[in-house]
Amino acid sequence: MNFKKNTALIIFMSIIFFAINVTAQDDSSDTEEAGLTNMAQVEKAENLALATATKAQEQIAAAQKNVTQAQETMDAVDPSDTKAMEAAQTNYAAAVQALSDALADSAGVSVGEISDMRDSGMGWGQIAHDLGIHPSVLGGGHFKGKKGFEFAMATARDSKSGLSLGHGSKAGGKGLGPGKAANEKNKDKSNNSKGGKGKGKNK
Amino acid sequence: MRFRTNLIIVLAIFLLSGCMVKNVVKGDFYLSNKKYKSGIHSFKEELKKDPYSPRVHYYLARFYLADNHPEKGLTHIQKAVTFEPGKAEYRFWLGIALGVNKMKKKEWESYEYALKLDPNHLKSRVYLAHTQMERGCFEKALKNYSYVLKKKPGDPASLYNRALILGKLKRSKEEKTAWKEYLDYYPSGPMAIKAAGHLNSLGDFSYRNHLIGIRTIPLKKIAFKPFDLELTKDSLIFLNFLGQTLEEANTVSIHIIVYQKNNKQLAEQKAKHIKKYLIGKYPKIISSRLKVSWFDVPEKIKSGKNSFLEDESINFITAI
Repeated sequence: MNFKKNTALIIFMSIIFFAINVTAQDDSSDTEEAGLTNMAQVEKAENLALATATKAQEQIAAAQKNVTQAQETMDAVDPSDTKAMEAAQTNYAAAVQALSDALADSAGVSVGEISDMRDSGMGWGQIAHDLGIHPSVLGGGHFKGKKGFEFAMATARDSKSGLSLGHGSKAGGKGLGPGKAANEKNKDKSNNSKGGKGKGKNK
Repeated sequence: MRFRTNLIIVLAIFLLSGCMVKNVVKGDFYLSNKKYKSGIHSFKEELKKDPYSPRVHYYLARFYLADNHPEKGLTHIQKAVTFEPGKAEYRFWLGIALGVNKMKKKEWESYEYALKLDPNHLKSRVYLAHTQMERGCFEKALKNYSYVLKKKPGDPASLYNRALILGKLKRSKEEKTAWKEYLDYYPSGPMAIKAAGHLNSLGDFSYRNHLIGIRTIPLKKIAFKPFDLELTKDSLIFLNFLGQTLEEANTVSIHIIVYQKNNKQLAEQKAKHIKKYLIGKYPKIISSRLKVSWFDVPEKIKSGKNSFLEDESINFITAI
């Protein structure tokens, strides 16, 4: 009988302890102070975010340069020199991995998604562009720097698929974007959308 | 004797159609797997067997065009059109081949011809409208894009270009609706970023670009149900996207800033509610990565040279 009483008491105390703990956690977020308290601080935060993004983009650009250099080194190696070729290939793979990691980390997508985009034939510039990273960072494709960039994008013809370019992430990949289009595509198979992962090609 | 003749005819038709089906399956396989060089190799062999097959020429044209050999692509698609002049699809690809070979006038004539053969060949109509846009024939292009959208409401290029043209024609009220419709279908990707920018320049912030880490992400306006602290269904979709992005970009922290004109308490509640939602749904995001702020004044949003005031608004800024 005594044992039963003690068990009930322990359970009761545990529940009380748990409830207090949860309430305390809730209270901590409810009593959180405002991070920014005036418009000048908001403006400063915005400027800082922009400056930091620019710096991060430069780092990614540097990683991309390493990939290009590693590629050039690999191309210059005599294919019969297996040792040198192996070293160049290892170097190239490491450079690609570093760039993929950097892009994935800072863009909020998985390395697998970057890899899928590469496998679908996208260049680094196009991947960056489709992820919403400013095109000047990694090259930005054949429209870069041309007058009427948007107009050219809007009327681009695709001689591979006959579809349209640059619209949305058809795959609806985890970090690539939400989209009615992705859901509709599954419903309506007749629209012939190609849907390369994140490539943004549509009929 | 008559039976034998019929049998021979039936067998010939069967063999021919079998051959055609085989070519279609094979051709589509090479195209969808991007094995253009293998496709060229294989269909060159087919061409030796049947040099007058429009289908073989069509696939060869497709492979050459995809493999950046526009002149060879043009030669083969011209042959396909010669051997089967009544097929709209071949005329469409002839248009593309002509365009790639810088024969712009012939390009749009080819799309027009395809549409004479089949007015519902929507790819031809979209590309014809593209050429009309390039020539400044905005009204004609708008008519064609609108036609496509009636048949296929989610066509991305037609949705986007309709909005772009309405802007050129200074029909800003319709333009606003058109951008929103585009973004409802395609809320992510490079064109969505542009579309959100256009919408914002018209003083509409239903969608807005946010710089999260190094990435620009368009998000639909995060909203609550009236007189309630419950997020709308659409807002949850976009918050989930933001949450997923923050889970992967685990070094990025953000400010959640809520503006609620004349109601600081509600602004605070909203900011904290969003934070709780994100942390609850995405446990990998630790609390300190989400910093909340709230104001009882409208948000002043700059778009191009103009500034706009939004009484109720939620902004996300990367926290450094």
